[in-house]
Amino acid sequence: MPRIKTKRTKTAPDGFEKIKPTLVDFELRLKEVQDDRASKIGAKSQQGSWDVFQISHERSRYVYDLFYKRKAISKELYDWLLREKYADKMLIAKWKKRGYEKLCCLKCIQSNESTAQGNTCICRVPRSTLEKNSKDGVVTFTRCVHCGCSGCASSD
Amino acid sequence: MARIWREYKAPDGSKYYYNVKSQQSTREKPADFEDHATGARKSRKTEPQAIYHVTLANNWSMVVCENGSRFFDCKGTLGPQQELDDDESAEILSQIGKEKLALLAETAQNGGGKDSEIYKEILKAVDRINAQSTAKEIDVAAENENEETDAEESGSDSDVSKVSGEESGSDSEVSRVSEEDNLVSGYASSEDEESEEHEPDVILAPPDEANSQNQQAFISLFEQYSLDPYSTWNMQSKKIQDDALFYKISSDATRQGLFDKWCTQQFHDNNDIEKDLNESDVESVETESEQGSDDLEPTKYHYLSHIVSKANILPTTLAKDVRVEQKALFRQFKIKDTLDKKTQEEFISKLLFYYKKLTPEERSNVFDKLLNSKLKVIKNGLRNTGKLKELASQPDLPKESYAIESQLLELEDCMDFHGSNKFLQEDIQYYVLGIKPKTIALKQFLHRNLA
Repeated sequence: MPRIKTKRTKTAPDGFEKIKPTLVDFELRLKEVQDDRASKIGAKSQQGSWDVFQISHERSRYVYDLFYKRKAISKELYDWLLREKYADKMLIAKWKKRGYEKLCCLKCIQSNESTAQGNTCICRVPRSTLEKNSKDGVVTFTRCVHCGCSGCASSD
Repeated sequence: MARIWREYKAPDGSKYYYNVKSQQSTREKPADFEDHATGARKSRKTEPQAIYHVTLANNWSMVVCENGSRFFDCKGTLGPQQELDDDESAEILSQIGKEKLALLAETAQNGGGKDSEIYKEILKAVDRINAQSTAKEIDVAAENENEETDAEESGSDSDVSKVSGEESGSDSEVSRVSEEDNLVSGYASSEDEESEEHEPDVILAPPDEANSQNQQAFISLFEQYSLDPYSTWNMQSKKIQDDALFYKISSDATRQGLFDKWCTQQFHDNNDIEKDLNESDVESVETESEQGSDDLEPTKYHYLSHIVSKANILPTTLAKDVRVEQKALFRQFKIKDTLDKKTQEEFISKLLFYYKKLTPEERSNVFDKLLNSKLKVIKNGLRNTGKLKELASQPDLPKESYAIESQLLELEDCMDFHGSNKFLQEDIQYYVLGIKPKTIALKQFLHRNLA
């Protein structure tokens, strides 16, 4: 979530106006998702957060693309966006690393997480490996429990 | 037998041939290909009677025969053609739709007359399409591809129909025709419709030309709908997904890639324009300042000599004293930036000698003597004689001190003080006068020698 704007917040550098409509749209989508009630079924209780993860991932990717791929915004504005938490700085830092280009969320690469039995999340495993390891070539995995990612290996 | 060799055009316009069965491709015309072509021509002689005749664009027309087969005819060329070789006509056909064409073929087979409804409907549709001047650009290459596949498949179909015809013996005419004419026929029968689901297998490797055309058409959408290059593909795609061209590119990943590429290009273009603007701004400023008198470069010790001439000089005055006395002026003219302390002191001491020992008249004589002695060299170095004459002929000095100074600088500039007459800059005797007397003396000197 972006920081709340106060009097002390620095004014946005030039070029913010151009990307503002898109950021507002992201915010609206996040708000919509917030209103969804969580499921009462235990296994599905986390699923409400998946959408939040997905949208914030998308927004981070948007900011990342604007600066690194499209080169549409200045360094100043990019730094400001990171400081105001429009994008996840830590996640973007991972994207710059080889093998992590498509990483869905940071939770999925924490190896000490209890849910993944000390391993990284299944969504990090390439689809081809999943197929090879399965008995009959049918992959049962659809979405990971952490963020609802359906596979974010760089080779996919 | 179906046609094995097909003719394609490579992106550079040259023809090549592709074998459907062995998946070979070659630039030379294969011998097999020729056989099929002549076979097709032979079969044309025993042509079934044409029933329907639909005029398309650019002199092309489509003819549907009584056996339901279809071929194209271009006025002014050799004869009936298997493939439609005209973009506009292909577009018209694609707009009419396959179902209707198939229906027409079926009606022809069943012996429908000229006044059948489907025929009238198609004629009307063609008229309407022709009337539309701003028809959407539709990829012709892909369309041609479809027709070819259909032609091939209908060929194999007619084999089947031949067998069935022999078995039943009811429709012997049709079967005989299809035996000879297995290459003719487009969307020949309703069986084609069933076989169409196999199409994608054949189209799997579309020519690159068509691909790039698709992409171009797709990218043109972005500008047509004035998409925001600062936004995400998710949002912007909603704006254009209702357009037919949107589906020219089948995978969304490719679409997104194209969009990203387009965005990057947009910014690059913008940056270039901005850069150009900035550069031109700088240039214009520079040219302006060259014209303005403000940019005339003063001689090396110009300001220092000016300061000395302003200073109150006693027989005991030293260079140090001048500096202390005229601190403000030193700062104002930024002497420090152009001359180091040692040169300053050296120059001031030398100049003080003239100021201490000589009266203003004597100093002006020294100045004149210097110029006279170097007269020849100076004259050779003059570069703007016309302006110099004009300036020298004005006897009066401007009233403001600033104007006097700029006139002096102009004179010096015309005498090429920074070029061939540079030695004068270094000469101490050139600085023995203050700005005002120097201007007067210089003018007199020039007036005398130029007139």
